[in-house]
Amino acid sequence: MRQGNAYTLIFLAAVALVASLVLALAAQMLKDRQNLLQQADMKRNILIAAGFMECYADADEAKREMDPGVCTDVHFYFEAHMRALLLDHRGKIVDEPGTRPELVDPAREADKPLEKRRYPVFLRIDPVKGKEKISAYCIPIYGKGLWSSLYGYLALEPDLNTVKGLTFHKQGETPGLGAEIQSRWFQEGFKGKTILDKKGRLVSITVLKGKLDRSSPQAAHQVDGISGATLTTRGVTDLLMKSLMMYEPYFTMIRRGGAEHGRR
Amino acid sequence: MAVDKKIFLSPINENNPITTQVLGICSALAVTSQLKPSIVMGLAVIAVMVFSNLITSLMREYIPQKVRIIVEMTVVASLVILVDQILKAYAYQMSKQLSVFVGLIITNCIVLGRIEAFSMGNRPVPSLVDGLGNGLGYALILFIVGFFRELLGFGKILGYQVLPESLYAAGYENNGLMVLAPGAFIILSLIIWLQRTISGYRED
Repeated sequence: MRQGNAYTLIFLAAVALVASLVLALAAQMLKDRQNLLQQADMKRNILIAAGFMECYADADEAKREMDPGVCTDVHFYFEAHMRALLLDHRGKIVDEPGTRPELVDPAREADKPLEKRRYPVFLRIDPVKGKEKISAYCIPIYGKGLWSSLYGYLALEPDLNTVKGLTFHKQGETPGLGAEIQSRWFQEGFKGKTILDKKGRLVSITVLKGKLDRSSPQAAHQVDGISGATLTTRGVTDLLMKSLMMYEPYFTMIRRGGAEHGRR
Repeated sequence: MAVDKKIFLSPINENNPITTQVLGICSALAVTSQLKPSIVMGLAVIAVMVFSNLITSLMREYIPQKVRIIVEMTVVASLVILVDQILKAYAYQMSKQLSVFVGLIITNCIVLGRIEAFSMGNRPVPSLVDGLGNGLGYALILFIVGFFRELLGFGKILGYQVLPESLYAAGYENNGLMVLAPGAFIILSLIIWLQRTISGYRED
């Protein structure tokens, strides 16, 4: 062997240095664009859940990629029509200028101690007769499906009982089966369902195994299942309940008429 | 310097990395449920193979034998991360759909296999052509599998409905099996069968 140990070490160090320089440079150059796309994607999903847009994943297959122009539009639209809040675990609004509500990752929050967790809420603000009126409360939903973590948004009407919309924007379930949770028919099924029973207790919404029986007294809290995706839909049922539970303190406060909708 | 045409053509047909050498099957099954991700994945692998072959061939005289696999992996991993970053910046939805499989190009046996077998012992230009040929050979099979899986599983091509509504009205249904991994196995083995019948390849 003609090369000694010193040569080998120097060679490896040089290769590592060059590779890391190239990657650092690329990451730095592409960072802005990546953030723009990523945030636009999340904001778009919030807007869809809040009832603004009608472009679901399967309906708009060919138009799913967004160019920077569309991203900027989404950002402006979001800023103009949505107000983001941060809550603590008791449902109190906290003021943390350093935390962007739309960037809060529910999975990471779940690992923090209870007092440190932050829960974002996105309010849809519509002007009515010159006054601002909240017309939807949108919360992130997160949980486990069969193979993957599911991320989405759930929007409630101002009565905090009726579902306005629901989206899943990140999932890795079986295409054609579990991944159907991203399809329009499944998400449409949630619209108009209620999360509270007659006594005002949280019952959330259950995804059935099979079709919904409309005559059942529970029909207002149930939606059609996806055949062949029992475990994914069971995950959806669980994560809806779990996510709604986290926001129950805040919602209860508003239902009693006692919460302020602080400014950002 | 004349580059032998065989270096380019043989991996596309009789020496295809997937159908003959049966390498890279994992990603061929995972990302081919629709045509579009198959195309993006194919292009990503072509890019990684061309550049990793070229770079390692340029360095082949200087790479210490003892640590050559480490150096090769560093080159491949850097290229794959680069491709992943570019996808995230320019095709975010697609990179979400491909998720971990872009990163897993690093472990695609074809890439390291071609570096070890070819570019470590050949000049840069033939190495580049070899990478291109093998990448294309891999991508071609992905396109075929993706085409048939999307057609039979969803009735669509590239997201556009191609099977007419009248067919569904007559009782035709999309084949759910094609959407799952077993569907890819069936199509892939049919391709291997067909290709080996034509080329007359026999496994010893």
